[in-house]
Amino acid sequence: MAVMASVSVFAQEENLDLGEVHGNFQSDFQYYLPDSIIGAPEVPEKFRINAFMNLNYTRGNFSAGLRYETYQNVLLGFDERYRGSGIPYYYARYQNDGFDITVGNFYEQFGSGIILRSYEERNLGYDNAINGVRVKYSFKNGIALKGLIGQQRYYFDKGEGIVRGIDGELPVHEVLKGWTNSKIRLTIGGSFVSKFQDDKDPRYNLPLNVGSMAGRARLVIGKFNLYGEYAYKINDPSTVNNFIYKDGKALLFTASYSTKGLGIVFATKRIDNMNFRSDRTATVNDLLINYLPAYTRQHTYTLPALYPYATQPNGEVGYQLEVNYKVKKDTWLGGKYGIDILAHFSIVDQPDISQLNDTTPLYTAGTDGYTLNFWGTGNKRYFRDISFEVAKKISPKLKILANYVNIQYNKDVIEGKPGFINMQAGIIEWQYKMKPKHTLRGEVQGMFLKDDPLNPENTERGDWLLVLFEYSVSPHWFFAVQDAYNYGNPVDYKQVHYPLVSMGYLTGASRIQLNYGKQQEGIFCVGGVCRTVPASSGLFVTISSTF
Amino acid sequence: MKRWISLFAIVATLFSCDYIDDPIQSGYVPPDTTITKVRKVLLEDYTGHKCPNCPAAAAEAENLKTIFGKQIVLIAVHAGFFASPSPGFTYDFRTPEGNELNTFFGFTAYPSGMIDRSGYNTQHILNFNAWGSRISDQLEIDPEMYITLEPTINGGNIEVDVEVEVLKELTGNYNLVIVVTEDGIIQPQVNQTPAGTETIPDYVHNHVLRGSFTGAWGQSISTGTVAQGEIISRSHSIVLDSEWNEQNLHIVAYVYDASSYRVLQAEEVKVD
Repeated sequence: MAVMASVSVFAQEENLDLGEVHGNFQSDFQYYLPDSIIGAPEVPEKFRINAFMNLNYTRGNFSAGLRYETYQNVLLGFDERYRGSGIPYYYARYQNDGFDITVGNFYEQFGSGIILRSYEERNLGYDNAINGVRVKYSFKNGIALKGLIGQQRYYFDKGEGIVRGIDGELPVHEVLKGWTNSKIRLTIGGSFVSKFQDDKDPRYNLPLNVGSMAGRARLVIGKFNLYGEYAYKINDPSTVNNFIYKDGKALLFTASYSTKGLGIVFATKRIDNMNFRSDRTATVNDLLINYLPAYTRQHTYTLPALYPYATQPNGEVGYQLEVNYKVKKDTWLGGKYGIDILAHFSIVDQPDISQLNDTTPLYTAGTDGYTLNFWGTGNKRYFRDISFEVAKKISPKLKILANYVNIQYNKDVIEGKPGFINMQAGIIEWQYKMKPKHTLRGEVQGMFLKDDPLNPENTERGDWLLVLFEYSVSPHWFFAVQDAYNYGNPVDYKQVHYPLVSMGYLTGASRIQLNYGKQQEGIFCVGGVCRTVPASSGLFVTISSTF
Repeated sequence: MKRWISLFAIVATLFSCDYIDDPIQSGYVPPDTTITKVRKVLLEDYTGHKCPNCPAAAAEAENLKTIFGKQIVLIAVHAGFFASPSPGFTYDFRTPEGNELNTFFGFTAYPSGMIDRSGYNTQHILNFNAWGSRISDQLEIDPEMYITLEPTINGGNIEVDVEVEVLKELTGNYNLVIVVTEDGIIQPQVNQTPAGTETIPDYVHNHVLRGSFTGAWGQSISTGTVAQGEIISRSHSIVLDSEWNEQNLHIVAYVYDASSYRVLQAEEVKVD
């Protein structure tokens, strides 16, 4: 992977430390060929580029940096409002005497992020960096305080709302004398975040200041790790909740156990009306202040990844249980090399909500919207995933992985398009080491959809088959060919192949990859935050490097 | 320890929280538009017949029209992904001008709209819940021009005489756009309800952009400085399309600043 190399400049005579400059660059180029059958549009520019460079300067406890971004024009599938060029991110920071002070742009997270998380995810075109001031102070005993104020990034501009927040974290096991040597580690924390936005709405009296608060605790006892966080938000009428005046609540709890050969993770969430943005009219991925975890599995194989879960901030009740188990080697079942088994179960349902009274429909603007039974579960399924993965080394040269995925996907809730999808997928992957450094990898994937009574017009794509071969010569080269065949599309002329060839070259801290072929439309998500990926045909080139 | 917890509590209370007990606002009283030359705001609703949330946006536009009265001039631009015809939705509402504006202003999510195209080029695309506030913002600007329109149907053409009165001295390049809109087109529309999406077979589409007298970008009416009181007159005509229902047509005219795209004034008159 990328190796960081530093540029240090020392003046000969005085041995002056001038600091270090690091950075990274990435450019994504796509040449578009229209294809009406798969739905790839004609792009008037023929090709488009997204590119950026980060530059960071550090000297001792001082650092400063910036990021230049250019979109000529924005690649399809990313928001058009990125069109253009600029320096949307710049900062100066120093750390001294326990203080850590940043001016300019910064990313921050309080607890698990349910009332504040500012981060960047380039693959989503997601960036809600805060532009303002952040002050952190750490006491010697581990107590940490943070305070921040600023406006959030909105493409090449800033959102009009102001975000203010404070957070404190206390490691009880470090502060309490009796606990220092115990096996129990307990950390508690609390945060408060408020946003200000002016109101000129002619219809409603809107809260200019919306506050939210959260408390959390992490308890680690030996191999057990427990985390819980509860958040509360006052009335926050917004576009996403249809301007209802109900308060918001969220409860997260995760428990995990891990020991050699066994890992168990359980997670649950109850989220109600927790859409929190610095502009009440913002939607999709714009100006989000908080982050709500998905607690679902992020599939990496192409076909099951077509149906990922997108978090529903208006409310959801979810559970996840994941078990990783390694069957020991030199046993009857494990054979010579053992077997790795992963079992995953996740489910997300609508919360148990009911009408305020007989005459007010759910989510009526200007009312409380609904009544909630916080501990109940509604009768609308949003998503469910039952999947298994088995990985077995057959010989020093051959490894085989088998996957089974069974997903229920409420397209109406997740994408706003009619349908409820029942999908099963099976994947076989093998990795064969031909000789040192030379590996031939293959995948066969099949995905099968049940008929959907909620989608009688059959607008869903139906069954797919995918075959992939990848030949890699480490550490520099890889070549791959792939064909995805939508043989089960209910529309005859859409039963087409999506061939794709790709190659990549890696050297030191730089990488270039070329793809040529067709790609089906889909949804791409990271942690429950998603963007739509349009169908495309053509050449895709990405170059990245760090220094 | 306690010291820090109490400090934390004090800081927390410094951030105020606004609890609202009376969500609904009392009515806005629009000025009498028959006697005063007031500012009229152009609301362009970018929409499509397969767009589930678009009926809610259209309802919001009508709601704002009841609040602000004649100070709102509405155009529904059918363009983009949700507007393309497909089985069950065979009618093509799109226009070349609408497609061009849709691409230029960068619409990718629907419904979305522009209020006087203000905020170009980073904050001009607004979700329908943001329209009301932006209209309030725009109405705080004193009127800079005033438009009067006189359309007539003459044989197979619609002819329109336009007068633009300059209400204060202005410097810049200004373009006049004149378009035809139609109400009452009954065609299917996808609609989002709490229970899911549905198709309304006999949905009434109003304010639909049908064609332009002047192309997407209009024609120049003033460059450089124009004095207060000056009256700029123009006449245009367009072929009456057989698809259009003469009884339901409106002529909409607006003047915009050709460098910032901000709309200075708009007007709407029914074709009689």
